[in-house]
Amino acid sequence: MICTHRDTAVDVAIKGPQMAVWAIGGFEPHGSHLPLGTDVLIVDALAQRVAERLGDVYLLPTFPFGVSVSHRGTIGAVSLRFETLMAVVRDVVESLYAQRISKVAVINNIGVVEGASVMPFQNRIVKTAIRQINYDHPESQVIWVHPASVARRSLQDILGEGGSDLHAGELETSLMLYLYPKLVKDIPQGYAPAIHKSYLSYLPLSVLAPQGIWGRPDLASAEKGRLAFEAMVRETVRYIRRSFSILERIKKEVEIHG
Amino acid sequence: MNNLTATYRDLQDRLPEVAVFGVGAIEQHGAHLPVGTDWIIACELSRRVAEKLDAFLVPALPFSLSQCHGPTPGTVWLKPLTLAQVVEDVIVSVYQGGIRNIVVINCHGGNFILLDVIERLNRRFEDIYIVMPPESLASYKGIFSDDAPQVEVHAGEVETSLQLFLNPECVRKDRVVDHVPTVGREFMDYAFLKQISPAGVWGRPSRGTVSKGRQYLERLVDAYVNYVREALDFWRSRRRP
Repeated sequence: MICTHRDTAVDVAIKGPQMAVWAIGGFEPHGSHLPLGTDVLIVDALAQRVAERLGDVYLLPTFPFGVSVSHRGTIGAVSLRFETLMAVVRDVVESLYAQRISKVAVINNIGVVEGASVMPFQNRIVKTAIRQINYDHPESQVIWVHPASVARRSLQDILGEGGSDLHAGELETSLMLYLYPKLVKDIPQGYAPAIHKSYLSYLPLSVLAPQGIWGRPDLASAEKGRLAFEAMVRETVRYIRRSFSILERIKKEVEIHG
Repeated sequence: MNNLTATYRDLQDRLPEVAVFGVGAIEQHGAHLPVGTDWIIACELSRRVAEKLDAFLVPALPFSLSQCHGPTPGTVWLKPLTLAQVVEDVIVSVYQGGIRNIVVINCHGGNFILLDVIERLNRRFEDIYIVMPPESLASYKGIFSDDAPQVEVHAGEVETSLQLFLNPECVRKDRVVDHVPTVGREFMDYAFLKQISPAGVWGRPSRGTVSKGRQYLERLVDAYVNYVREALDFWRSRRRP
């Protein structure tokens, strides 16, 4: 794995990576028990482990800010406009393409267990950005992945009712208890409003879930966090490898058959 | 009388509480369905929902994000930010004209940016309320094949049934080809649909029927109307007095 805080440009040139891995986080209040930087802390740890397993890939620093309209205005929240994140993704990917790294895997935040794998739960715009980049640069490949989505089956076995959590719930709390236990403060009771989660696009989280959480952090444990982290790393690595291999085949077939 | 034949005074005298705005697409739909399929559905669905809600019907947008097919004859697209700006302008102008509640009905799967636009606009004005009923509200159960939720993405059993009901003369039954790719749907972010499925189809159009189309359209309309009514009630109960 090539990483920016250790390797020089010469190191990168010698290793000649064909793939880059890049995580995007988010900066949002996480109730009273988890730090604001939770998403970044988790996805950064995950990206490092994923990159190590993938081998000679170029690991970029985790980008800390996402699109968090739901939290905008709440103390501690930082959100980009979707146009901004879209432009950031494009610029970063195009810089990688320009140095002939033609495969980029974007680890787009953590995701949620019950989420559809087709649409991101966090930083939705990353999907649109990537689709457009792939349209404009058909000779290269960029993919995105939500680790919790691709590890869904394993996570459903590991977690309790918290499988339907959306924010600062059983999954995130367990992951933090595993990765950074000293950063987890008193864990509150669970809260899961009985409303359609699509309402998150209409009203801020502070109205829908006044405690700032949507889930069951009370069910969290460090052991669940360890198992969940392993599962997410494993499935993310598998998804990345498999997807690039399938795409190579798809594109070759079209070249042959026209 | 809340449709396009009303004058502005008619609308002012009886101002609708809700506006309905459909978003369609013009794009390849296999060899058997018209390129205007998503737009045709958007027009009809938004018209029916508007009628039940007694809403102001904004003409459906014909173009959206159809890049996913790759360059193909008859496919028209807008870039994501163009679509975002168009939809934002339409919503803001309707809001400024006095209609506070807007329902966006998306009839093309690739328009994920619509949620980003809606999310932000909902925060921009104190008294605006924009909702977009998720398509999954109307279940396929009892109408389409059991595995339709996993299998149907484009120009398959669902869309073919709808077109058989709405525009039977435009459906080329002799050209129907079933194709279910083995990759996840998110692969449309990575490759053109014509690369994933040379027939341009993702689903089983051979199973489409008029009756399924009629039933599903009714179910869609009811599901969307109920969703909007519930969402509006929820909004009213949460607003500060």
